[in-house]
Amino acid sequence: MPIAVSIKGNSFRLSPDFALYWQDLQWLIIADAHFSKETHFRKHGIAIPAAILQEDLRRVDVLIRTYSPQRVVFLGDMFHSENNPGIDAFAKWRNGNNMPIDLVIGNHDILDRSRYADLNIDIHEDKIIANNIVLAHDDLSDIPEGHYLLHGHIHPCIRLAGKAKQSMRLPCFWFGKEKGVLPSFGTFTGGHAITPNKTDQVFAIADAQIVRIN
Amino acid sequence: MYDYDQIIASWYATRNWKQYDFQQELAAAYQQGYNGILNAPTGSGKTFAMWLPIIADHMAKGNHQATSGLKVIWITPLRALAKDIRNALQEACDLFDMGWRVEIRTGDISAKDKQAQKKQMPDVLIITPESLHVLLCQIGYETIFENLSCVVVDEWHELLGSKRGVQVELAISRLRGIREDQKKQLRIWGISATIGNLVEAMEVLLGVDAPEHTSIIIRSEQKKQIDIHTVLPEHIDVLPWAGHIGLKLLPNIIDIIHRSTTTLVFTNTRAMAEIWYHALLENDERLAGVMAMHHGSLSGEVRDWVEENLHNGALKAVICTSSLDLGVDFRPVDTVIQIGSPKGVARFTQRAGRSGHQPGAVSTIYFIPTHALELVEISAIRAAMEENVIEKRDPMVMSFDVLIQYMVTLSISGGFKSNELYREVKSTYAYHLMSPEEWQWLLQHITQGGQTLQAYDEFNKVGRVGDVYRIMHKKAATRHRLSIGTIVSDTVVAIKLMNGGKLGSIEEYFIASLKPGDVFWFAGHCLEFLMLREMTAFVKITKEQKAITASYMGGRMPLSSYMADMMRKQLGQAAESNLHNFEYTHLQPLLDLQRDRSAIPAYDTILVETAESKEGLHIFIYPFEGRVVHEVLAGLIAFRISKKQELSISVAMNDYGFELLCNHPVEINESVIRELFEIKGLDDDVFQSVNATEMARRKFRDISVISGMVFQGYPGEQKRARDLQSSAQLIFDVLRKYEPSNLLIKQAYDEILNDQMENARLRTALLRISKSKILIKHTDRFSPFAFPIVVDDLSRNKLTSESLASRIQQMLRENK
Repeated sequence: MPIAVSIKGNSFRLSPDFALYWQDLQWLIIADAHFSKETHFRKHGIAIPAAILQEDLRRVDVLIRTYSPQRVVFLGDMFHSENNPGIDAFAKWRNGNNMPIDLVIGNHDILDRSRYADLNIDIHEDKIIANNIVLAHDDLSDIPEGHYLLHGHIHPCIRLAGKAKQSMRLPCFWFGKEKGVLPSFGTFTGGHAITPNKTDQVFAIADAQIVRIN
Repeated sequence: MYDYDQIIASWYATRNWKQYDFQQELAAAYQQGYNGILNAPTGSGKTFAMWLPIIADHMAKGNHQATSGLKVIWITPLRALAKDIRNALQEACDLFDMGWRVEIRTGDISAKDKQAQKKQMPDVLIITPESLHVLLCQIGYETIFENLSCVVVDEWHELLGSKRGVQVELAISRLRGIREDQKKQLRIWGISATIGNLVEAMEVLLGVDAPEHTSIIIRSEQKKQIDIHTVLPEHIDVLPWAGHIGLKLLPNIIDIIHRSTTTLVFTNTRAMAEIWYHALLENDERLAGVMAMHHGSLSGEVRDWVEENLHNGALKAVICTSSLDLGVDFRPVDTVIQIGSPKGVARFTQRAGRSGHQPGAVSTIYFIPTHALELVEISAIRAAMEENVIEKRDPMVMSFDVLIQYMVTLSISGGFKSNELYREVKSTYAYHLMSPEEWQWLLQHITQGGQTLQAYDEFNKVGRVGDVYRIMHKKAATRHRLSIGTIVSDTVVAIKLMNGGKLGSIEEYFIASLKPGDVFWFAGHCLEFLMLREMTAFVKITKEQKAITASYMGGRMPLSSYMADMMRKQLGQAAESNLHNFEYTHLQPLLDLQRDRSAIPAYDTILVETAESKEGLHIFIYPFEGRVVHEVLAGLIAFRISKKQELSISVAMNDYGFELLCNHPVEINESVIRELFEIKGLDDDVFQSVNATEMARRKFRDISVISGMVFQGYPGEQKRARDLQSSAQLIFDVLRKYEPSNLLIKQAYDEILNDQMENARLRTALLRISKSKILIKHTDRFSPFAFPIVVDDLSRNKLTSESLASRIQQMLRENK
């Protein structure tokens, strides 16, 4: 079961498939998909399995079926690199749906602006503001008074330790007082260990479940 | 015309040296066209024994000046050896006025020299396996080797058993193929120190098609006399139960250094070399200026300087690591000190042999124990040397990563035909068991990037033009050239003084842990870290004495199986109070304590100890099989316990035994232990244990780099190509999920089960344990055997049979 979180009067649901659903506006939010990263590697002669892209797109389909959102917002690093055959595969997938898609540009999003238009993706250079929520790729420093920032970019993971010297690292959602971070969506992406404050809320994704850590 | 035997005899006569039997035998065998192995220790005149027949053969046939270009390749594992060998070989050529040029080709030589060689190859090349493969990567490389008559592989025992050895096998198969195309012979000779499997070493070198009647092993019967002295403090209590430093014996070492002409002090890691260098200087100012350090992180110039001053006797002592294990003959060295257990008879013998290098001279080695139980190890080495046993070096097989690299190399230098290359590769020992299906998979891997070819795919590397496989991607070719080799190291950064002097290089992760202003030891200096710019760490020399010692990787060598067995025998004798030698007299108090808290296992007994702490239940098992076997064994036992009940276990091990630390109670009695060590179901259980996957994931790190899946960046500018970098771990996980039949993933597991872990050794161990008595002791306090395992926290493996959710809940509760 997805877990609900309330932020400044807005309700969100955390999906164990690495996405956030904003119930009030019915937006599905995904960070750091890095679509076609494997294609980029393959193009340069590094044999990462090509099937990853189809699998990641299938996961988006499942999320759309589950939540039936009004739109899908990507918080940057939607595509990993320049134009490559993976983008064509994405285009083919895109032809099969008419879901409005928004992208807040991240450091990896370097396609020609016209290419995004072809793909029917609406571009936002550094943020989207809706209600009192700011959606961005980076950890912005200047958020309007009374607003809350949701962003991506850092691929957060939480490290847990226990008896018998057990430890593990899990991808997570991380909500602070003024800002929150989404886990990276892409299968072929790594993670970065975070050190949350005591008052932060952290939800790990473990075995397709959301587990409250902090 | 010259006479073959006369040429050789005249050389020995000018030197006033006696020609030993093995040198004569080798000369005769070479003339008759044999291939083989020369088995001789360093300092026995092996280089000339090998070299003279080669030049005499050319002179006697009168063709030494008739053909220009490369005639002999001399492969050496160490760049540091190249210069000395070059001088020796060139000297002999000059003596006979042959007009031959002997040159070096390693990563150290300048681009200008490489260009000159490209225009006109010398007659003889001294080369490393990596540089040889770089040559094979050049377009038109075949013409370079057209007149090649002989390949010599020096220090073959060092290369055998590593992927560099596999590289040598592949290169030889190609060179032989080039010669066969011209219906000409290529002689292959290896020079090897004594190892337990010399015959196999020869089969590996010569390939599986080599006819037996033209292969021979020539053995020098010279046996080096080695004097071993164990240095002990006056009271054994001074020796710690665990640890790896041993500084307590500093005064003894200073004394030994001053009593000797020149001393080599071997440590097992670079970090230890730095610690000792500093400690010696601080405690004896007489050593300032006459003591130096030599290890792999230091810059080439520093190492050259040290070697030169060792030769001319200007240095009193050099603190070194395995970087000085091999080859070069430093005449002034008359004493060797080994700090900490050498973990193997062969390594100990080799290091001892660095002193008293002249034929007939005695080698003297002092052993400095760093903790008490190492006394058992040295005693075991003594016994092994008396029985004349020495370790085997098992060759690596089916290293698909090396083969992929080689295939891409050839695709760059003009391409290859599948059936021709397949035949050549199958003739090597490393790949003689490769199936046609595996070969097809490899071709598919480099041409299509895996088994599934998607419609939109644009995998770009090697393509097929007609029936020739060729590189298609220029940038991939550049990246490949820069990545040739099988030694995978951590990313390193250069260490430079602000005024520009380069001191060496150090692993990036160490530098990453420093803040500006931190002080650390490196190259014998106390350095203050100033800043990191691109891939260079800028430092300044400081007087500040509170330094962190750079803790670089490397050097955790596992106990060899011979030594492990010797140790068990020795302990068995000690258990019966039946062992009387120098080391044991001193070890007695510690053994008494072990007996008091637990027991000393007899030769036919496996000791199991249990203890409780706030961490949970500790189970210690002591098979004395060496760290490598213990790692798999511990994973296996942990897995079997976790099958019976839900719990989480963390595992630690050393050369003597292993610890299973369990978060829930486990019932331990003899029948439980027997069941856990059953041979039945071994393969499945080992494979299934999470541990195996963890270990395979670690193995994959090297495999991914060698096979070109992970690109480590361009030298000096690792920042570039970031978009193509990803971690080996991530690739491992992705491949395991999407392409479980990937041969590189399979290789990662095989390397644990077969090569590294020696499946056979694991079975032997289980068989022995199943026949042993089991002795279970519950201890209130950790025993002297247990203590070193508990404190050695470096590599804990984890295993669990609890659900992820329940583990998280537990951890959260425990952390409350």
